[in-house]
Amino acid sequence: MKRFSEQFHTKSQSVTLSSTEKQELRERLVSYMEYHPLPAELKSAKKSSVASKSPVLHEAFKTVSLPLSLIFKSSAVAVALVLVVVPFMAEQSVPGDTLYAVKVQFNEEVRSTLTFDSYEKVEWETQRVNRRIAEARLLESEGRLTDEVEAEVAQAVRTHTQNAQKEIEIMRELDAEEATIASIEFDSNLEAQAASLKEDSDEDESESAAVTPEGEGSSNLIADAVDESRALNEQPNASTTPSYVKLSARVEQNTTRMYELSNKLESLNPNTKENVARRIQDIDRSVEKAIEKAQENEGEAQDILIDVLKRTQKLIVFMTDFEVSGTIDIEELVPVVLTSDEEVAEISAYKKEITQKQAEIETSLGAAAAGVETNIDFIDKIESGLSQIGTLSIAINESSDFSEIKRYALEAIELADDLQLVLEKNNLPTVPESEVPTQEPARPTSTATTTASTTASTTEELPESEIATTSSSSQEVATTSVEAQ
Amino acid sequence: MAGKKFTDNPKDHEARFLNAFEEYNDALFRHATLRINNRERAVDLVHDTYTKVWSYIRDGYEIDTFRPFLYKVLNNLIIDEYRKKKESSLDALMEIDGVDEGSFEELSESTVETLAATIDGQKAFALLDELPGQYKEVIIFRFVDQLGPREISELIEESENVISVRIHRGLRLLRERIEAGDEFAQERRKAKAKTRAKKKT
Repeated sequence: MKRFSEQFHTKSQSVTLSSTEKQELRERLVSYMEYHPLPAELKSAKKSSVASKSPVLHEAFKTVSLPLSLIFKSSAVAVALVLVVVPFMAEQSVPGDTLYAVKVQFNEEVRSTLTFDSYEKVEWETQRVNRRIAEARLLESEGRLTDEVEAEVAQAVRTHTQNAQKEIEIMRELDAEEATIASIEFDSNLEAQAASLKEDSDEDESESAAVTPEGEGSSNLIADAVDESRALNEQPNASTTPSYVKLSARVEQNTTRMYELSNKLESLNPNTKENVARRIQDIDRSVEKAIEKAQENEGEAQDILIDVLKRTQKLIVFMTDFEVSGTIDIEELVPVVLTSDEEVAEISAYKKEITQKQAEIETSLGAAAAGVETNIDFIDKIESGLSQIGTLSIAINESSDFSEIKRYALEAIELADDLQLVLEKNNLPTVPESEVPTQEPARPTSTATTTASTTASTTEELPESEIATTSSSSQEVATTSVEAQ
Repeated sequence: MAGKKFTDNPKDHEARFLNAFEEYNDALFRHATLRINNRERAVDLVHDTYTKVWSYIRDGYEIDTFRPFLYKVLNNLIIDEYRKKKESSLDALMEIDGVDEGSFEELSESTVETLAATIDGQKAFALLDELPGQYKEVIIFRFVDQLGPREISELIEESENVISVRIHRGLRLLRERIEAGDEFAQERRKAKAKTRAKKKT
């Protein structure tokens, strides 16, 4: 037996793995072990006497435990990711980004669905218009604004305006006054954006005209859309004037917002800050005036308040939309309103300038008359101009309205400047004498009629058309005489 | 106490497992090769055996002694292999299970020894393939892997008696074959001698 066993066994030992086979097998096994590592904690409790039982059979009925708690946890994370993180990230996106659709069609839509008040809806639509324009600006500054995107933005602006208008219409049925206030605000916002966009495209054109002539017209599509929206919006604007109480409530809200914003404006440069502060003061003054007026004349107070509302709205846009403030001058958007003291000072400055110019013209006219062979028509012309200035300064003295006075004063100064120019040219010896008289017949007649009419009527105000003709005709003289040289 | 030694650290399990690989891969391969007569397939089976055992460890079971467990897994895989390969061999295997378990004289270990003493081991090994599956199986377990009848009975889930009878019959079959082979060889030698004598004449 021993012999047989040994022989048999030694013979069987010839069947063996080669060293390469063994190596290969080991590598396979080790990599399998690496892919299927042991868990950190082994269930040592499940000790079994291995050889006596059938492990393979046992394995077939192995219970598989699903880590349910883990699944729930991870699904919570996934939900948070979808509902919070993605929309949050989407807020920063611009047209062309993957998440832009999430921003426009999820974030903003959800927000507008969650807004129930019509007035707030209009406000939100306004904001959406602002956002679209801001995105377009951002893209443009990065040089990524394609025609396609631009058209898209313009379309979006139109849609949002339509939405706002729809809301305004709904409001109008319920509360016409509120609707008017909303439309005033919406309009002011569009106006501010349009002004800024035009400024933008003007710059663009002047820039691109130098470099590439076909590059112009960017932002124009959007500006057109904004303009179009404004035109649509303006029609129903005048239908009802909101009541004084409602207006003052809205003004109150806007001014509060304005103050809040201006407090946050610390970081801006002091110049802008000063400008903004000045506008706020102006608005405050206007509000006081409106309150005063409210006692005697409510209609006037309402007009003032509407104006104030527009100004506050624009100022808010200026302060919130950094892009707008970067492109447009505040003076253009919300002009300074002078205090009464400032008005008086300005009027006296105007008067002083006018009298000074009058004196100058008279002396030079005297010198011209004393000079050789001066044309009598020419002297007549100057004299009639002077008398016109005189009537204007009378009008200035009699008028109490600052804007009117300012208009007259500017007129008079302009006229005086023209006359001085004409005098200067005519005093030059090189001027051919014959040329001037040919121009004469047209001008004296018109000025004569105007002076006659103004002196005869002695009303405070000159009819605007006539002022226009006189100024234009005098300008004509100035230009033609320049050409005559 | 032995359990404590390896349960907590996965590194211990890995080391023990790799030791078991180094120790038994050759023996398992030999067994598989002799059983299925396909070297490449045998390598795969050995690999599968070890990966199965590894998953078992991963599931948290502790293996006290690797050798019988590895053989058990390999044996199951070989049976699967038979099923896949040739249905008939398994059927044949089942049929023979029903035959009588043999006489008393076949059952004692000493009779096996006396029988084995009469057989040429090297010749027997060469004839292994000619044995029916069930005898081949036990002969390999007994003389190649040098497992005791009790271990074999646990592995193939038969009683010790059945194992002993099979070993005995297997050896007897082998001896018959060897003797037949010897006779055949003698006859051939005689025949050759005759032809040579004829040629000479």
